[in-house]
Amino acid sequence: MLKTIVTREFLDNILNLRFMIGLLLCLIVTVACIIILSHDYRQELADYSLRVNLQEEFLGKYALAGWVGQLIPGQKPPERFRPLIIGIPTNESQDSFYDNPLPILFPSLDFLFIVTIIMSLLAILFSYDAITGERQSGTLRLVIANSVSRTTILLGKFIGGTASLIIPFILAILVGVLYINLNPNIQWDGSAWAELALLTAASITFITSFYLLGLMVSTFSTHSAISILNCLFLWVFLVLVIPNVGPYVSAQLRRIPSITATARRAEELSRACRETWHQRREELVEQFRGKYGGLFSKLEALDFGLILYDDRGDAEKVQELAAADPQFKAMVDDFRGEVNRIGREWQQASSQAEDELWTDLRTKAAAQTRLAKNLAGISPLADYVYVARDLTGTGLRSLKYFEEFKGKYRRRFGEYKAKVTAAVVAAHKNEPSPPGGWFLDLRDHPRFVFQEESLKGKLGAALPYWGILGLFNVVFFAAAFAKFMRYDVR
Amino acid sequence: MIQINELTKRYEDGVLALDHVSYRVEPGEIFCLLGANGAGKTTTINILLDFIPPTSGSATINGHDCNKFPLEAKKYVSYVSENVQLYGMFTARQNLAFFAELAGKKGLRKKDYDDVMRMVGLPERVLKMRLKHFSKGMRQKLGIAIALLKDPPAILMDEPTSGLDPTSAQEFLDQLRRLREQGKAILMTTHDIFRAKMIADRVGIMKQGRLVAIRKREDFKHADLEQIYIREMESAEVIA
Repeated sequence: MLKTIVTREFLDNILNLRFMIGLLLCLIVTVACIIILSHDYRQELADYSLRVNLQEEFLGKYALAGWVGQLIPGQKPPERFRPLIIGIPTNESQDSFYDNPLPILFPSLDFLFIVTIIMSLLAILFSYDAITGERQSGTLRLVIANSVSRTTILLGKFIGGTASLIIPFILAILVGVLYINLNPNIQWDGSAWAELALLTAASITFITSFYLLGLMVSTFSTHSAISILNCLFLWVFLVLVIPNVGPYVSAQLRRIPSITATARRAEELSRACRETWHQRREELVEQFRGKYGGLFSKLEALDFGLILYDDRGDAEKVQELAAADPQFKAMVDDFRGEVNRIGREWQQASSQAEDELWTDLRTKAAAQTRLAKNLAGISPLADYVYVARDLTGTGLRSLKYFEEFKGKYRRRFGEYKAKVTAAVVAAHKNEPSPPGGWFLDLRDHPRFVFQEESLKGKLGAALPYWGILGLFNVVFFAAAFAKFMRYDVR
Repeated sequence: MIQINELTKRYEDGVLALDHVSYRVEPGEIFCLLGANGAGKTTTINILLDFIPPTSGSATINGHDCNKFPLEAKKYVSYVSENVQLYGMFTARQNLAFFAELAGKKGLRKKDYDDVMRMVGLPERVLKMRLKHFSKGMRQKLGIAIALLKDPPAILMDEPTSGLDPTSAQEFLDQLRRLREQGKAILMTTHDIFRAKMIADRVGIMKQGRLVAIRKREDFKHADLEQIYIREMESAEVIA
């Protein structure tokens, strides 16, 4: 009996004009999207290669011990899902805006747009009249007049309707797969294909949630016109309002200072510490004047005398005097020790205060992001986006993973650099170090080869949100079921 | 076959649609329910098909309570509505096949479809036509064809001749006679006193939810059924 209902629902849908429109829309938009994004991907790959080569060139030419820290490689390659999904921009700047402002002005066309906007709307268009339409036409009475349970009818409508809705989507994906396979610039390994399969499954879970939303609204309505209005209202609420309002509400509930305000506050703290240091230094000078009298005046009389063994001003003169007079040397050493001590204390206090400030900002920002993420998760769209981005390595989590990966590489590179530096210093042990340090030969430095997070790790991160998507399906179906059991078919 | 016992239906808004109605429809009998709009004719059918539950009393088909065991009861009944609406994008054959499968009739052959089309007076070639191109009369005939394919012992018909042209209505009555000969119990609601007189074995006259009279064929065979109807309605008003 279920098979009969499923088959009828499926055939009825695919014979309908909306199926043809959905199919055409999916194919046209997917092909356009994949062609555009593949072109962007090729360009980003070329940019990436250029950046890597430039970095190698710099390392070859300017690898002075003091500068190498700024030249450590670790460029982020374009995400492998870039031909399908636009990742989070990491280098969005005013320059890129002037290069081509239109992609920033208009919403991006990618796989996520197709699923979250086009497919969710199509799902609602397929299901909003699944019950009301048949009620109005009178066929529902005729069906229920037979020995068939309402559960079977609802289940049949869900399965048959979803199957007819998924066909345009799967066809569009197949076209995408074909294009990716034929494109020599896109090299996907087994794990990438597995991720695409999981992404497709997650997308189907998302699409069915909207199909069930339409089905549920249909069981709560008596006329198709009312049903479509209610569906569109809920669609706007779930797709546009909640994901956008979530971060705003979170920002209001967990307020954090802006980066500019924090930087200004850090500067104020640093200035306060510096003033304290100046004050302490003045007190120290007074203390030494009292203790050493004329001998200290001799030091004070020298230009930059209080800077002591610096390589500027009268530092050489101070050294000369210290060499000639042991008492003067002892006073200078004593004074230098005290100045260094209060200097260290100032540096420590200043950096500690600044660290606390930035750590506090980061903690609050992380808490705000967490809250925003959870609030937005009330919408199936947000949950799907989290799943899709976590699975394909195009979201916030992948950025964090990349930073951690890069951090590990930097440590490895740091160890390598320390070895090379030690060898160079040993080779030049009797020579003074040139400004910027010795030149290091880093030709055999460890190369940065970014490795994607394992599929298991990605799936582990995506599963909770996938579960919530599944829960939306269950809730919508349960509500539709409860209502349809008492639905007035007359 | 069809049994109604003290059937009462009061809607949530307080309207009493059926008021302790009782009657039986026997195999090989055509029972016509006459009455004005809102008399409770369609409500009876709605309860028999479990579209709505009764407030009290019971309705059974082939001994199965329509409210307690609706799926079992509906195995033994077919339904022809006032305005048969089928799936417009499907052909007549696809519609027939779908409803036949719902009725548990699988693996029907071309001959089965051809036979049933002939029985209801539709040419076989329309089997390939989509329903959206069918006239109302053709749809009504196809509705009967669906009922015939199921081949149940009882048939419920809600204003089946409404909107049919005279020729189609006559063909429809002929079809009903053949069904009666096959032993089907037929409960038909209608406004059409003229056709009820032609076909009914018994008529039930309903007014404001009450079954005010039941007349056998002998009572109206040579009399004016319309006069009987009006008289019964007026006397019911006096009693009320």
